[in-house]
Amino acid sequence: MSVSCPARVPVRESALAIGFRRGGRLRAPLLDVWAGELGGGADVDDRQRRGEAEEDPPYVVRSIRVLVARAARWLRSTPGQQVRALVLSALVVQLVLPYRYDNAAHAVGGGALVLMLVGAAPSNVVRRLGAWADLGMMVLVLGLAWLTEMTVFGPFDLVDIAFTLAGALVVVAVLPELASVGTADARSLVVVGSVLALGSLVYRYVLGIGA
Amino acid sequence: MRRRWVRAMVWGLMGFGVLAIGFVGALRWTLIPLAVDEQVVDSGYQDGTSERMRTLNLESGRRVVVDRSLIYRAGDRDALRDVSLSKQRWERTVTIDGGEVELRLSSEFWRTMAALAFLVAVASWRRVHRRLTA
Repeated sequence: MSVSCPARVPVRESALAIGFRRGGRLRAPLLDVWAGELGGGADVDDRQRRGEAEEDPPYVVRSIRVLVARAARWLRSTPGQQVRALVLSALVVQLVLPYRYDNAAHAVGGGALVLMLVGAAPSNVVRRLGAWADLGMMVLVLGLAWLTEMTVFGPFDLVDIAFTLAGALVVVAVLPELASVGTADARSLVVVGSVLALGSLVYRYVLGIGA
Repeated sequence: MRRRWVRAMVWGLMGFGVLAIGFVGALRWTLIPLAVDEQVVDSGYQDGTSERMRTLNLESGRRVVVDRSLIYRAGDRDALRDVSLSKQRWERTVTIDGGEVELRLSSEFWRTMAALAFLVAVASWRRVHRRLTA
């Protein structure tokens, strides 16, 4: 009996190498296990020893599994965690305020601004400032939010500024970790922040909810 | 130990500041903290709020945003045009064309504060969780 092995995708190995470790334990969510079956050599050997017939899933299903696994892996990276936190928080804000789409967009925009600033700033500057980096970052976001609210995003609304600051606070909460990432991840932060900022603008002005 | 307390205080101040700014902004929708004594020239809808927030253009050129519950309590569901508005700062009633209308905290106000409080709570949880797992 022949068993056709699916293409080996070292998803599980990569997840172990890159996955976010908390308290010495690696979280292995269901997606990771599912993706691990795709390239798990040991699993295939076990099945061969048991003599089980293995049916190849269709190519589309395999591709989707690979994409899902990669997305799950990225969402566990440092930039991915910020995207996850911001998007999920904004989703809850949108559910609480279903008749307004600007507040959720402002929250994401505030967080995106912090990501861009942290990614672009020299890491030793943020580290040296310590606890004052948090306050400094929030003051900077307040100033930029106030300026853009007075000029670009009029009419002036204090609530918009509050949501921008609240979104920034969600990311500032892990500022020391963001300041400690390597150059590649810092670039990712800038890219991710830019994409989120653009996405929030599209959401606010193009998609829109309500009259 | 002292540094940790300073950081906690700074963090608490930032969270409080965000909520305070949102509180002041949302409270203005109720007209309670504002002083007004002029004619409403025109009214309209604030963009992107599903007609829940209305804009009142005053004689002086000033523009105030109010929530629709005020319009409903004033008896006119469509508009508040060519009427006189009069109230002192922090008064809980407004005189509209001689008639008094009570000013209340609307559901829009409470929902906005709840959403802001949720975001501050998420930020605080991330902060504490980061410290515990660092």
